Amino acid sequence: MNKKIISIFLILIVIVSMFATTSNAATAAKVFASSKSSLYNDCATYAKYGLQKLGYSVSTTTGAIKKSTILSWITGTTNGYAFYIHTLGGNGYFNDYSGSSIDKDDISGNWDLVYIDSAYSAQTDTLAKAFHTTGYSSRCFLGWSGAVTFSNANKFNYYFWTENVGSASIRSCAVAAASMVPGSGTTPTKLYGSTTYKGTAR
Amino acid sequence: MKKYVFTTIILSAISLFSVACIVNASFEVSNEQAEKSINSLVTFKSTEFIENLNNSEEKINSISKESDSTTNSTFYKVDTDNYTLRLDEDNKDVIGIYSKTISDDVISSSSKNEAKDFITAKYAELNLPSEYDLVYLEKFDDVLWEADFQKEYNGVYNKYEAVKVFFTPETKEIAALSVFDTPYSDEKEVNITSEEAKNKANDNLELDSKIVDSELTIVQGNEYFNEETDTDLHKAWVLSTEKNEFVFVDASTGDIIGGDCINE
Repeated sequence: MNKKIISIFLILIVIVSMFATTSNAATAAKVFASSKSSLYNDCATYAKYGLQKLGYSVSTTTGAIKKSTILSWITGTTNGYAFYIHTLGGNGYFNDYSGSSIDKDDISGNWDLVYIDSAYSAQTDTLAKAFHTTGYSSRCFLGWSGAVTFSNANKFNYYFWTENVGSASIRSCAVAAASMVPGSGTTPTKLYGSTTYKGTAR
Repeated sequence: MKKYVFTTIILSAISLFSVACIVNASFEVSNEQAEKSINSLVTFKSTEFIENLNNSEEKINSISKESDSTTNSTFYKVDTDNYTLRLDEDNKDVIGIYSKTISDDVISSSSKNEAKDFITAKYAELNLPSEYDLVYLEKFDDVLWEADFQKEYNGVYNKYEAVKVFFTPETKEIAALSVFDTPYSDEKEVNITSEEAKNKANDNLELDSKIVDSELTIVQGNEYFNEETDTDLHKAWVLSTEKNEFVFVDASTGDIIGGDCINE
């Protein structure tokens, strides 16, 4: 009788641990923010909230982030499909905290939703192509086609991630957020890839 | 006698309880009625705005009260199949709208004059503030144009009292529109010249590059250089450095009231 009870108990443990493994395999997203001002941390908070709304399991790293830390997540996470980073950068690259650049040659994998939040990150489609976000119906890349300041990016991110995301396509949400930031030409948001994709986790 | 007192107390308690219930119920009814009438007004103003926008009728799917922590304000959020709107909490005026379905298959080939003709006509149709001037009109991307209408204060425009709109002239589509309504109330005289502002910045800050440009404008103070700075609107000199940093110097007092930096 005792043996039977122990067997049933063990079977239950196996079933529960199988479910636990399944939930750990939820689509993952990563938020990075180099912390040189309080605005960086705000952007990380907004992005985490927005990505969770889209159904991602989100982890966040802020502070003096090294290139190796960013690359280990980009190249090593098998279920990672969304990626947001708020940092300094330029056309075709973005930097870690100390200024080491990450460019197309460092990037691999097939990504659904990527947003590189540094000036000129989307001036060309170099980074969008490197993340393989173009040419698919449910993938897109968001960035800036020109210069953007800390405070304007911060306001844009507030509206984009906390208010708009999930209600419409990433393209519509980004244009809407751009309109909500005061000033002329202050938020040159640019999207590559699908203009109808809502960013929802697969 | 004791019995009489006891009965009186019980009856009084019952009466008080009944009155309280009636009052409470009437409050509930009036709260419900107030919410209904607000929702009716919000629905009316939203549908009217959309009709003026594109001659279409939209069914309201939901109305909710939301807060905006960047402006410390509360607004009504209205959701339809094709649009999301924001309405001012006090007057229930539309202060924002965006389309959920931007027609990205049309590349805009309109000239600047064609874009201007379309957006100024649409601006008037939407009954937006008539005293604002069109201060910016540029192509935003392949599909959209950006236009900004702002209020002027003695030759200086206030971007916080403005209408910012993204649109496509070919499809006559407004993709997004926002109304900003923070008036500039601090009409102090400009006492500081551009050169004096530069000297103030160089004397008080350890800037790591040369100031290369200056512009007199209205800005919001921030904590970029000093955590105790207010967030009021100031008429200020915005000084730009070679390394993409900005310093805001109050044009009346010469105080450094904020700054910013390009994310590059």
